[in-house]
Amino acid sequence: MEEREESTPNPEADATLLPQLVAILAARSRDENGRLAIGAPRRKLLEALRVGEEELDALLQNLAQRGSELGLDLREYRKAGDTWHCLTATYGGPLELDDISQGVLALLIHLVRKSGRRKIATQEEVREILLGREYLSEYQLQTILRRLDYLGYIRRGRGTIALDCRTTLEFDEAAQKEIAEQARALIL
Amino acid sequence: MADNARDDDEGVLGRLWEVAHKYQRELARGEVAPLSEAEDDRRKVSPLARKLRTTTERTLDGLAYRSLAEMQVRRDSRRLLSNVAPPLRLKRLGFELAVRAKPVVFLAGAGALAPRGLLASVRFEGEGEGENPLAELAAELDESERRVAFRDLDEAALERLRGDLKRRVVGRRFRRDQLARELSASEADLLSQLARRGEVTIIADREGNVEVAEGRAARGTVIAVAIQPRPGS
Repeated sequence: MEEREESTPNPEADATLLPQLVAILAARSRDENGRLAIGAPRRKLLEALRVGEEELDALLQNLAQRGSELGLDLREYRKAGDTWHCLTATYGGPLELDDISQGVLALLIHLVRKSGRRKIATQEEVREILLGREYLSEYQLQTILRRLDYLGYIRRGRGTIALDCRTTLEFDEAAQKEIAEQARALIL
Repeated sequence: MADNARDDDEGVLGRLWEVAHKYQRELARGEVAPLSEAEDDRRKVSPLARKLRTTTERTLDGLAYRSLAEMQVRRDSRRLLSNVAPPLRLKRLGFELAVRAKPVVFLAGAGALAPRGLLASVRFEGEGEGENPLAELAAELDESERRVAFRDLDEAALERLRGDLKRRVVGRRFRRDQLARELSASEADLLSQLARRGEVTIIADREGNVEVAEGRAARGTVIAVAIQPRPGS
């Protein structure tokens, strides 16, 4: 009972702050580099809600409890030296990608996992598989990679592709392993 | 007699171990064993079922059969997949990914991703601009319009802004720097849109003067579709 009181020190304040917190965490924006940012960094939450560290922790804990009843998970991730919070669905939901883009992302997950500690896929091997075996045309592949990059699933470097935090958020370790196995069976 | 029995035990264990691990290795490497080879191995393992005594042997027996079955599934699906067109295979892989996703939740709509409302303005009015902490900043941002916030514009409001702009600039001749001074960034953008739509024509002469005329340009005239006033010029 005491614990409960600690986690919700002021139910009235929570009643007004929680809806605001949901709105903030369900937002997304682009950072100064044009990369998709999901949710909000902790620093900004403290500023926006005008609460202290402990109060924010209690508020987040309260949100996590209520969210789990509604099928929402409160997730935390690190980005640019700050802790970010966002909401994900507990039991799946619609993705922003079409079927083919999803297939390409699955293949990229497999290739990145296969690369071991380097955690990148080279554009050359992706092209070799998808263009060489006539899965896609060059134009289709580039369009899909651009879209995956735009939506925050991958990061394209010079000749390399790495998975971005959205992929890690949406597909946990077990899911990525299964996806990689499916990619190996279906594509390779 | 006891020695014979022990040898037999080791033989059972060894053969089961050999088969189970052979297929586990091949499964891990993504290889497919030929059907005849797998059938031979199954025949080797089959008679050992009556000799299983210890738990280890039974576990290994289970593992051997499971590996054989997994190999069979892989062989069948490879054979079936060879008839499936590549884009369909990619789509099927996409489905496998989608069913494992736990997507991030965000509010629907264009949201913060779409650059919109850039032309909108909120005027600061009311008691004493000097007292308003934002007034100075607003004046600095845009002297003429005091834009301080963005909001959505509907098509009617945009049309009105376009009309206002046309009334101001059409039929006049400007020096380039004069045009840059007279237009704000959003107005320059609007003028560019008008030129693109063919509602006005922007004609630049060799002395660097710019004339804005109504309607499409005559044949042979170069149409400028975008102008870019430099800030502070």
